[in-house]
Amino acid sequence: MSASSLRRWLAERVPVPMEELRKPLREELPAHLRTWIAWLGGTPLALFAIQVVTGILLTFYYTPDPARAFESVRHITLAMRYGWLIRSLHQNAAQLMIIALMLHMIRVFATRAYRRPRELTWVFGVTLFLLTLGFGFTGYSLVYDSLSYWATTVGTNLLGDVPLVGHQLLWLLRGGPDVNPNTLSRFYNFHIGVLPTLMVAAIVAHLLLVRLHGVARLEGDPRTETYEFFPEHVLREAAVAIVLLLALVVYAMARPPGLGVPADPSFTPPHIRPEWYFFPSYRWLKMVPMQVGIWTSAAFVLGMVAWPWIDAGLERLAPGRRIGIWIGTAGFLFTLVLLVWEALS
Amino acid sequence: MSVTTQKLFVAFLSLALFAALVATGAVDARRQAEARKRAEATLDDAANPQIARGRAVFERYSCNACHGAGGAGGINNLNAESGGKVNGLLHVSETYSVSELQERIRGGVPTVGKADPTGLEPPLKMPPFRDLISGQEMSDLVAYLMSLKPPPGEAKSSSW
Repeated sequence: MSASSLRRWLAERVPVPMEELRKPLREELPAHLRTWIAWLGGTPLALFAIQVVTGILLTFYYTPDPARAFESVRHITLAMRYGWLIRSLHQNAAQLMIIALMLHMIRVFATRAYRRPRELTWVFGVTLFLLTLGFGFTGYSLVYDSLSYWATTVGTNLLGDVPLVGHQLLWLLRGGPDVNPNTLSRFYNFHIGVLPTLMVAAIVAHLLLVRLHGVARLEGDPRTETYEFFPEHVLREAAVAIVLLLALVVYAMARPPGLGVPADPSFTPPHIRPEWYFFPSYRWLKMVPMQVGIWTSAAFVLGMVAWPWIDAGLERLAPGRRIGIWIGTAGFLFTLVLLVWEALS
Repeated sequence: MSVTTQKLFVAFLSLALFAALVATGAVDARRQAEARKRAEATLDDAANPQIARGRAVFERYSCNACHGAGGAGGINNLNAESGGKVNGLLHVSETYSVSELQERIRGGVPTVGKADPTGLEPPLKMPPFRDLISGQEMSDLVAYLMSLKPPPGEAKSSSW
């Protein structure tokens, strides 16, 4: 059977409107998207794909049981063929994913691409960022070394202080009053089941909205020329993805992942710290009274989610003053200061 | 940049990525060899717990600090007759009986022969371990030292 007759045979049985499907590939993009920082929308998606593939491979050998979790990570890292590479890619693509998301959000924020009617695209974007942080938190705990165990304990403790529902939230996450064998299986479940499902749903919603609205034009940009999504934009996104994957592979060879000390619930290490992307909130919660910290953190997240409407309100109050940009810059700098402060302390 | 140039660029990057992935094979092979060695050592320890205990004694009293990890070769000892280094211990089973070796550990090596008789006194001497290692620890340590073997193909040493 020749290729063309096979195609005809398949088209008859699976009548997909190929011409319709190709249309999005020909979408015209505004010229400002040729700047490198505008390519970072697709980068987290490429990194997420790496996470899915490496994550599935890791589940083949990871055991979500407190008695065997650390040993299974050790086995993956030291004994499995290419286990060190898979684990390193998974660990570091996660870090890059968070950095890429931050840069993408900064770009969207600075260009105010979230303005009406694209508010929901922003909301789904923030949701994706929060879900990624959730992946980071649950994933870090799965390693089950001393630092990750205590970071999980401290991190979940904070939830207990949330007014009204804190106790219930704590139980939902831990499956008991303390970090116990249930906690690890719950975190594992969240990491490979609940969060990926929510993530895929939010990615579909985000991309669909981006597609339905088209890419926002830059405010005050006089250029009217456009270029096609395929192949030019796809090639740029692909170049970034390949460069990052290459960097991840080279890094894995230069510095293969190490192992900490196995978790010991009876011994608290002197320096408990979460992953770097939680440094700002960790430092903030240490600086202010707990209830103040929790309420302000919640307000910060809500402010981020509702930013398109807040910014629109500020614009109505003081047209043309760009107050939103100043608030955003101040918020970003404050977060950066907290991050660096915690990193250096 | 034209689309053709971009395609070439992506193709070049893909090739570089492919080359890097091929190179991971070498790193993996090395790590696999290390993993095999560790697994064999674990099996050896399980088969002969006295040797495992002896290795622990060897490390507890920092014998490895002068004689090298696994007794494979010592650190520099200026003008020592044994090639300017503290002796390795891979040949002790060929030159010592169990009781001679025990006596050597108890008494230490107060005088180290000079390579150049007119040169400096070698600074490192083995201290006596009489007051530190005895009983079960001594038997375990000697069992461990007697189990050490040079890698296959290495010439026999005339002295340890």
